[in-house]
Amino acid sequence: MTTVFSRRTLLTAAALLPLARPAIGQTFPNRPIRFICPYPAGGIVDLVMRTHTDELAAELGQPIVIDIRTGASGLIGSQQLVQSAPDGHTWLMAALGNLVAPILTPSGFHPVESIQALSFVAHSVSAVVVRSDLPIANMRELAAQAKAQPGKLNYLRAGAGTFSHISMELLQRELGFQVTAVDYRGLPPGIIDMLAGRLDVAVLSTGLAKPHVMEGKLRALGTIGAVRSPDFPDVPTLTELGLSTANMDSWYIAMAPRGLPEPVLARVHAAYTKVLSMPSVQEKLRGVGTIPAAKLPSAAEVQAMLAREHAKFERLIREANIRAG
Amino acid sequence: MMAASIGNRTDFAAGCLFIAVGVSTAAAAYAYPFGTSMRMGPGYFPFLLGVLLAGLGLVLALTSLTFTAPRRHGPSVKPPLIAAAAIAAFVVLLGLLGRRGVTGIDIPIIVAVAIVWFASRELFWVLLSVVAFAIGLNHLGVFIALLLSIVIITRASSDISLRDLLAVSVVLLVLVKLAFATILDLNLPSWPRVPGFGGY
Amino acid sequence: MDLLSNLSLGFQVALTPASLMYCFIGVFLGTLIGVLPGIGPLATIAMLLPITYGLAPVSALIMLAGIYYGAQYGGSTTSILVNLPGEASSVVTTLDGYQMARRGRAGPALATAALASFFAGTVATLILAAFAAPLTVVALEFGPAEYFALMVLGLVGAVALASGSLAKALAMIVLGLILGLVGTDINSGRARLSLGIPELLDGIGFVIIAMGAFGFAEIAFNLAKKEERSVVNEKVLGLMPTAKDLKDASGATLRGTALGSALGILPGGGALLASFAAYSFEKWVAKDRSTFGKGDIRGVAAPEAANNAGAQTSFVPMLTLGLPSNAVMALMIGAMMIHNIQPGPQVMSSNPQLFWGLIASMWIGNVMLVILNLPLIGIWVHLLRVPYRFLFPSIIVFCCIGVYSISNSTFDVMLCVVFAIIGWTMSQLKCEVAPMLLGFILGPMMEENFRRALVLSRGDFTTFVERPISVTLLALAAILTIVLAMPRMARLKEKVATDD
Repeated sequence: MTTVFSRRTLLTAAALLPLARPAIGQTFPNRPIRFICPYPAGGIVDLVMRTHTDELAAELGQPIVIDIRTGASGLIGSQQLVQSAPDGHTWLMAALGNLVAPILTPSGFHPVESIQALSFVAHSVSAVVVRSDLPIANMRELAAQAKAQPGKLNYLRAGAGTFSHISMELLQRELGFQVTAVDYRGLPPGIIDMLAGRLDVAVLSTGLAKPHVMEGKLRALGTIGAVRSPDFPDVPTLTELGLSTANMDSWYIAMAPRGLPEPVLARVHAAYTKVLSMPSVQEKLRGVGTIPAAKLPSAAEVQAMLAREHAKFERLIREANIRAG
Repeated sequence: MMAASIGNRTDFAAGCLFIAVGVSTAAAAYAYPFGTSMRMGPGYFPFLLGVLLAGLGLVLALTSLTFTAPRRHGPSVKPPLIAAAAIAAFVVLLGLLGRRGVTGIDIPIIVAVAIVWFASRELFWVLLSVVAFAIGLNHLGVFIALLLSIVIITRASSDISLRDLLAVSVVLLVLVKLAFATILDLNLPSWPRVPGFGGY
Repeated sequence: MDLLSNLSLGFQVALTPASLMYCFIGVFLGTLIGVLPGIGPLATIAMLLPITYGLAPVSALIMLAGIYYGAQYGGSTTSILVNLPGEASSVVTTLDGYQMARRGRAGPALATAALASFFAGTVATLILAAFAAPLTVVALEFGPAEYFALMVLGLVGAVALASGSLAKALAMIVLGLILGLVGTDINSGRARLSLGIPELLDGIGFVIIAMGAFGFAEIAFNLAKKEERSVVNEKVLGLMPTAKDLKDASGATLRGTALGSALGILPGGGALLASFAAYSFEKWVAKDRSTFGKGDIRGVAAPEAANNAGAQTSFVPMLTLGLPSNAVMALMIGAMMIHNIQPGPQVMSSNPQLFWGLIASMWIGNVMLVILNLPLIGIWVHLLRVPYRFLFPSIIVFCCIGVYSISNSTFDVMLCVVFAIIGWTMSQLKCEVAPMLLGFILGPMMEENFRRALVLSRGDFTTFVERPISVTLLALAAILTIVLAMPRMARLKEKVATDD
């Protein structure tokens, strides 16, 4: 099914090539670039995009229009991307959901094979938090408490197949404990129930967790991500705690549809490399709670990383029996 | 004993429609897991609601029956039933065809609107103009799509002259330009898109 | 006194020329988008977000908040004039507001809406300033069981929205509940009733249903009435409310303000209930219910007061906890983060100018809205004299663009067509659409909270009656059901008796 579709995509691409050819190479970009944001306006992905689109537009000499296409954990945006012409004028800012949602809801395209990574943009970090009135100071104590009173503790889940679900599922498997999932439409409404004492554990983005940890209402036990979060410099990552399978790298990556001409890819990646090295852009990225990459990987490296991550998530989701539909 | 007859035809028709929608919902929900009382499955709530709707429809249909001689006054129920058939056609076609076309649901909508012709001419023209706008927008740009849709809308009313049409079009295009494009700066495709030259 | 010094700090911030200017821009844009059907504060704030990066955070938030509550004012205008609710909160206003307009009383209806909103906004802003912190505690008391009970009470009350048959009103509510379930089930991640269309995975947009079932269907109706060629048939009877109007509206405004302020505090969608609840309550306390739905001024004053009060107090969870109670608040949090302000309980102490400045600006914004809206009434009423053949193409055009603008999707515009057919069909069968819309809004929240409460109680249904708030709300719902059913049963008995 996926192969049929990617063949069709390639055919469309081939059909469009003669039209696009004069533009490629010498004159790219020759019109405004449409940058799809697959998540709600004002959300973290939108904010990440706005940290550097002006600089990129200046670098490329064409305006970049942010086009918000929200829905279905990023699926709607991904679909818009893979259906557009691979001439470099349509991009998308992807988050983990764009990789995971197509696994859970097959949608006629491959989240890695149908796209071309343009550039890595930033890491994001989440924190495992508990209510501070519980006698739990670290991950091992969490596991011990949950085992001592089976079926007692509740965790905040922002719906099946979301990051909050997958990460908690992996944690439970690695530490061998069980907590009950309570579902919410997004993390913020769940945090209210957590502050009210109805939920015990959650995986929250550090930006959401920080104010409540500072207030002393929640306690951070560990962080999930490639590096420590500047919001929680004293809290170790799960990898540091010896829980490497449960640790996931969460990221923001700029993408285009598969079949991009080589010179166009090179031009965009070069522009991205230049813009992301600007201290002002790095400062803005940190400001919205993300972590810029220490060293920017090449587009091919990002593409390979996505393929590895996709294979990993496919396996984890199958093993943990996480499903949607 | 007198045979039961339909006293209030609108109530009877509404009751039957509610039964149909309720039964279809319950049938669709039956395919989803029901779960346990602690962890309810996705089918539980919609199934319950479907049964409830069908039940309310039944009450409505039954209370509309009378045992007296049939009363022939009241509006005809034929137009709303044709319109209901249009919705049914939309749902069935969408299920058969899946997502395709410019907006994803072109064919089912066009078929439904065509059926509406037999229910109400006014509704037909109003809806056709909306369809023209939706399908035209991405390829023709907002101004030409709007012009097309204004021309169609005016077919709904017999007392619009060519001069009126021109006046309405000019005023509306200027207003749209001002309100949506200039003040609110909406991200609208404005002009026809030629491959390779964009329009974004 | 603490409150006074805080408020004076707030007014120092809010009365600077820059703050006043951004407050005005906000309420002006809010009024504009409120009047334009379809396009709502969410899309507008999303579009304006990039502009706010260059502003001081206080100015940015003052402007965004102005758009939000300004849209609540503006939204009533189209509801009254052309039966087009631009937002969930103005659905109820169509019931009596549009009927007033048809009877030549658009002016008093618009003026009452503006004055009731202003009064409610003033009171709610004061409540926000004085009790924000203690009210947060109340908000936390509301768990899933309480929300479920509240939704049940809201739905039973929704029957009052209809003036016709009880069975039909109930069926329309259930139809709305079913429509609300279309999309992904959050608990299982499974797509339900979505016909395999990815655009439906997040459910159907409210505006799509409202524009279709109210807007397009209503136009087809008016066109079919050959003899009527404008919205108003009767002479326009004055622009301002009479002394009797004001007297009738004052009690309704007070009750609407109280209900709206209380419900707005609840982050789990309380504000959405406000206008519906206020209307139902008004009909319930009224001695003579027969005038509701036929242009009763109380049916305009109560919901308008409630929705504006709710809009102001729904800032409580955002300001005190940093947690948004709706998508517009989520955007405002995004705006704070862009400026490196961490939204959360610390804002009040770490950025007092921002916190109190915003609250003070809300009151100033309400004053501006009244000043802006009262003179506009004359213009709006004149607009109604425009022959319908010029008016209806404009309504369709603005609806189309408005619906498209919500998520830049032509799919949404097409979906409107389906709801236009549904709305038209149901109205032909004398089934009222307003209860369906309330069911649609409450459906997903009701199911979510029901299931959540049962997970938390581990499947024990007694959780709904063990908790004091929940059991009280459910008892109220039961009493209301009996009260509603009684007169109808009596009537039915009479009917059966005479039929024999």
